[in-house]
Amino acid sequence: MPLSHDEFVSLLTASQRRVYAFICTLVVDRSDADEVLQETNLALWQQIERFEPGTDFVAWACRVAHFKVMKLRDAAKRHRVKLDDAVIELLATESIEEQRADHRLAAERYERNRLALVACLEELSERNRNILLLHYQGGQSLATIGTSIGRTANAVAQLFHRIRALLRTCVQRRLADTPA
Amino acid sequence: MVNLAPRPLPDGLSSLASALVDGTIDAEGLAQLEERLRTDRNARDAFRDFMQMESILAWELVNTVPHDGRIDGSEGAGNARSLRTRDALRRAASWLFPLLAAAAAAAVGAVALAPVMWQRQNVACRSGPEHHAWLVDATDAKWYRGAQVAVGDGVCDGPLRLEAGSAQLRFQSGAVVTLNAPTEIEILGSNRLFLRNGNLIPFVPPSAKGFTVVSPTGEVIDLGTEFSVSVDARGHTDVYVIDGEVDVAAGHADRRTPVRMTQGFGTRLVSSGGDPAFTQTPLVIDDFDGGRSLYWRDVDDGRPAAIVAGKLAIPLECRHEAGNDKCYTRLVLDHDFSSLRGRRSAISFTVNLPADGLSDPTRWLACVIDAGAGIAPLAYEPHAALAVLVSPHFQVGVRMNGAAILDTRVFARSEDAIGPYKVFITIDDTPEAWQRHGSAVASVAVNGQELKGTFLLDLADQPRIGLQGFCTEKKPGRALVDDFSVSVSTAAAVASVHE
Repeated sequence: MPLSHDEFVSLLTASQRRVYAFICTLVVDRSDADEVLQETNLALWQQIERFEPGTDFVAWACRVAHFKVMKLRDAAKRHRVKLDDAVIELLATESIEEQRADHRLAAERYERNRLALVACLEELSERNRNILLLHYQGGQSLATIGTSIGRTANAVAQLFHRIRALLRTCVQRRLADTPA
Repeated sequence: MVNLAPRPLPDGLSSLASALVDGTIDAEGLAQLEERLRTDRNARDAFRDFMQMESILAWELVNTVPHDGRIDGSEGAGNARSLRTRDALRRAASWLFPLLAAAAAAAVGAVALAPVMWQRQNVACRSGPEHHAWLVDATDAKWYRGAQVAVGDGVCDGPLRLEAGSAQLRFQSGAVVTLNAPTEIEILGSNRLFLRNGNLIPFVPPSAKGFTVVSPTGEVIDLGTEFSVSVDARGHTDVYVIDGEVDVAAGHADRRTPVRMTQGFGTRLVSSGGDPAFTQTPLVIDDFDGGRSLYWRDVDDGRPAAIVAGKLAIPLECRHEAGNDKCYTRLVLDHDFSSLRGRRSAISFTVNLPADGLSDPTRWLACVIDAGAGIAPLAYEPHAALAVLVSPHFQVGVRMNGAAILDTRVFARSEDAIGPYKVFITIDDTPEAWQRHGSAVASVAVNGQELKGTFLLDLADQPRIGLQGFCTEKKPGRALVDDFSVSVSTAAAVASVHE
C-alpha cells in the first residue's frame, strides 16, 4: 500500500536536514544545494507511489537527490558543481551505504553533531558569530565582508577557516563529554 | 561505544576543504583535493563530516534573525541578542506549502506538518511592553497551530505565521500591513518587521514614514506609500511600488546605499551584497495632474470623462428615469501594450466612488483588459479577458471573459465602502507561468489584500487596457481615478526567471 499524504509529509519533513547535508556534500555550493533539495522534494512527491514502506526513506531520498545532482551537472549552463564525477559517485555511494547499514546510527550521528554545533555557535565571540551570519544568512561574499571589516578577502578566508576549526574542536569536545 | 564526533580531516585537507567551500580554491588545490578523495576512504569520510557541518551551519544560520548590531558588537541596543536559532524545518516548509497546495490533499498534509515547524509562536498578546501591533481585520485567517486571535487583539513581538487567508495588522506608528498567506513575519518594533517569506503589502500614512520591512537580503524603507514585498524560500526579495516612494537597500547593519523607487518600479534583491537591479519599469504612468497625461480615448459619447482637480472623473450616472437601461462610459488607453506579452506586468490605480448608491449592485468602476477584438467590451462581455470591478455595493469583483469569478469583501481602509480602493493587478505571461499553468495568469489585490485564486488569462497579442463606469439607475456621481500606471518587467528580469 502506498504512503498516505500525511505519512509522506512527516517522512519528508523529518528527512530534510539529512538530505540537505547529503546534497551539500556533493554540490558544495549552497544555492545549488537549495535548488537540488527543492527539485528532490518535488520528485519525491511525484514518485510517492514508488516508495516501498518499510524501507529507509532517507536512503531513497538521497538516491533521488544524487540523480538530481547529476542532472544539475549535465545541464548545459551549469559549471558550478566543482568535484569531478568519480568523486561525487564515491561520496554518494558511501553515504547511502552508511545510511542503509545503520539508519539509526546515521540519524543519531547527525542529530548529536547538530545539537553540539548549535551549542558551539553560542560559544563563539559575537564578532565571529556575526561574520558567520553575514556569510551564511546574508549571502555576502568573503570580499564584501572583508570590505566592511577592513580586511582582504584572503584574510577573511583564513578567518573562516579558523572559525570552522574552532567549531570543529568544540563539537569534538562536546561529543566526547557525552556518552554515545 | 561508537564515536559520533566528526572524523578529522587528514593533514592539509582541511584548508583545501575550506577553500572549496569558500570558492577560493585554485585549480591545483582542487586537483590535490580530488586526488585524495578518490584514493583515500578515510579522507572521504572526513570530508563528508566536514560538509555535514557546513550544511548544518547553512541550515541553522539562514533561520536566525538578522542582527542589527555592528560586527564588533560595540554599539546599538540590538547587539546583546544571542544567536537565536530557529527550527529550520520551516525552511523545508516554505517549499512544501506550494508543493502541497498543488495537490488535492494539501490540507491534510499541512496539518501533519504543523507541529514540527514552529517551536516558538506568539499570537495574542494582551499586555506587556513588547506589544507593537494589533490585528485589525482578517478574512478566513488560519494561524499556525490553529491559534485563536480576535480582531482587536494585540499581537506580541516575535514570529507570526499566517497559514491561510489574509489578515491586517495595524502598527503603533499607524502603518497598516496586509499579510497574504502563507506568510511568516516577525514583529521587530512599532515601525519595523522582518519578512521571512511570503507576501505582504504595507500601507504607510505620513505618521509612519520610515516603516521598514527587513528581509533576509535587505531592507525596504517606506516614505509614505503602498508597496508589495515578497520573499521566497531562498530569501530573494521582490519589491514593487504600488504608489508613492520607497527606498530599497541590500544588506542590514552594513547596508548599502538605498535606491529610491517610485510607482511602477520594482526590484529584486538576490543577496545582501549586491545593489538591487530594477526588474520592473513603468510603461505608462499618469497622475492626472497634467504633467504626464496619457491619451485616454472616450469610446462613448454623451457621458464624457474629464480631469477634475488632478483626478480622472468617470461618470457613474444615468440621467433617464427608467431602470434596467444601461449607462456607461468606456475609456481606452491609446497605447501599444504588445510588450505585456512574454513578461510580468502590473497595473495599479486608486479609485474613490460616490457615496450615493451603496445598495446598487449594478454601479461600478471597472478596469478591463480586453482580448483586442472590435470595440472595447463591457466588463460582462466575452471579449473582456479580465475585468476588475469596484463598487460601493459589493466592493470588489472579478470577471473573466465576461463571467463573474467572485465577489468578495475587501479590507476597506475608510469607514464606508466608497474607497479609496487601491487596485493592483499583475499579469504573468512569462514562459515560467506557461510551464506552470499552461497559460498566462493574473492576480488581483485590492487595498493590499490578494483575492483568492489564480486567474488563467487569455492574453491577446495586442491587449488593450481600459476603464469604464457602469450603472443602471438614475443617480448622480462620478468615480475619481488617480495614479494610474502600467509597468512591465525588464528583459533581464524575464531572462533570469527561466535561467
